[in-house]
Amino acid sequence: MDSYAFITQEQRDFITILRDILDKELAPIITEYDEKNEYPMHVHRTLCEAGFNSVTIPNELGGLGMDMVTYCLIGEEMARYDAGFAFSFNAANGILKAVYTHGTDEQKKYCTDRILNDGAISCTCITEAEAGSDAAAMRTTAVRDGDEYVLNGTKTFISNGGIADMFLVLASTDRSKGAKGISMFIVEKRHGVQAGKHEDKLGIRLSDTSEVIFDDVRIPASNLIGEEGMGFKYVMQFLDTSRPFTMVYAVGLAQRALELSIKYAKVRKTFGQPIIANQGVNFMLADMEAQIQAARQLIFYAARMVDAGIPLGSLSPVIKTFASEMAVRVTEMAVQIHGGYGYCKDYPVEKLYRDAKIFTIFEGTNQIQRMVLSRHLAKRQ
Amino acid sequence: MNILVCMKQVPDTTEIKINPETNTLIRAGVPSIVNPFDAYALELAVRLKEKHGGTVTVLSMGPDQAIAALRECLSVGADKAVLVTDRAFGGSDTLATSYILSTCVKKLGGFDLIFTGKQAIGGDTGQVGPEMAEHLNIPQVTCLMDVEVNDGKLEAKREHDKGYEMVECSLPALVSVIKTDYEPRYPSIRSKMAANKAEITAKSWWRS
Repeated sequence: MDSYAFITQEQRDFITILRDILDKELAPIITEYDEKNEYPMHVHRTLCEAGFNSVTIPNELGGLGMDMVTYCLIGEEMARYDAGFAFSFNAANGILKAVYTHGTDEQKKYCTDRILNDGAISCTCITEAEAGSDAAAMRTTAVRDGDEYVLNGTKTFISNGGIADMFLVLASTDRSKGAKGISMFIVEKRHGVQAGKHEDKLGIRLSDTSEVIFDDVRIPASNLIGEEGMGFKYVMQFLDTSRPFTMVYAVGLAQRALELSIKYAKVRKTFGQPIIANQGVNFMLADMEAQIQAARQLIFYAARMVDAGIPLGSLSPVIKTFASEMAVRVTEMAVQIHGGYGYCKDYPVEKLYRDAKIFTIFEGTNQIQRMVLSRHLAKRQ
Repeated sequence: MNILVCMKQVPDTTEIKINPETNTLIRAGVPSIVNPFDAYALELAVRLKEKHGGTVTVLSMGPDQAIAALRECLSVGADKAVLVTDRAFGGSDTLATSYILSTCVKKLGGFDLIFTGKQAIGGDTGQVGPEMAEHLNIPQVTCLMDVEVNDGKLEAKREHDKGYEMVECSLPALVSVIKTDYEPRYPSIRSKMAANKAEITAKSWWRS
């Protein structure tokens, strides 16, 4: 937290509370849950009791109403412990972003109440086996039947899919219109909603990733968010403003990789001196620091833009590509510095290296991000 | 029920340094924490309050920086905090400390139950609590593991070398607390913010 010059005393206090909880509750069990490929729900509950799930929820809805900078400081710190946990903890609130921007007052109150008071965990169901960023290929359908919609389809790679109580679902209400026929719904876990395959992933294994199957699920028509056919547009809008801040977890895990590498390079001796004395090693450390700092400052700059109500524009794909690739490079160097030990599970950098890779893939692959970024450039005079 | 918890701010034991000339702890630059036994005492006190109603006041003797530790106590369930501070208190031994604290208890008045930790880490004397009870002329139960109040009587579970024993005594009373099964709670963001804004008055009854 000393790497952000504008941190307030209040924000420092939040980080202290967070560290206190995560040192005792999460740090000792990370390896176990990484092996088990499971989300530590009891840590989730403890953090919720301390208020960490209500940081950005507006005051009038019972949250703490804090800014994006505070959210990022907390996110980075959480990811210093475990990026997968941090990602899932945040994704548990995922439904709120969509509801706050496009939902009715009733929907806002309902979803906030479910999450803050009932302790519900939400997830966002967009991706399908044959439709990720290519929304027009979406096969999940929602057919209007009187006062209800009937939902059918299978979603894949859903973060928190196996542990969620409520789902933000994209489904086609008019397949002839492609992406413009997609609508967005609030779906509660009830008869017909089922978790499918629990994915056995390379990294971020504390984060639950599962298939979610909707089989003739009837939901009230009032659970439609906004207008029919606007779902894909809504998602693109909120992902554009949330994606850069998911990358703060890449910064957190890279920061941890750097800290471990410095520590190791000081104690590991070869030819009678610590390896940090070798330029081949300490230049790697210098590169790690430079790249982490650059990514962090990009994200905090973007956070201040969001707090000031300025659209991110091309900065969103810039951050997604830069920060995610930074994390992969930095953790690779961390493994390199640790040598053979770094390649073994006995040392935590092995896990960090595995955790880093997802950041170039999820939330829109870096190739899609470059496509979006180049479109921004093509529009320039 | 009105409960008082005596709390000492102590240096984090992992960072202790001693001034070789005065043989006292060097406090500057060393991170300070709430004495762990006092934290257990506070947790027990807050649980009792939550069950029976009333207030929990935390009292500390020490330099101004002890206000930070008092704020920590406020963020985990204490309602009021009082710091008693005076240059003249510097270097107090346990007799002096227990005299000052028990004088404060009399000045504040109205407590049914006084909690202290078994001992402060660092000094490890374990004398201040029992001495306070003597100054105040009230019953004391040391090495407390658990506590309950029924019909105005204190029922205490106290640890000794061969196990534990149940002790009953009248109120007001003073108890000293060991590491219990009740882990001190975590502060929440909200309680932390409220504690940071709370007014804590530093008093120097010595001179009044």
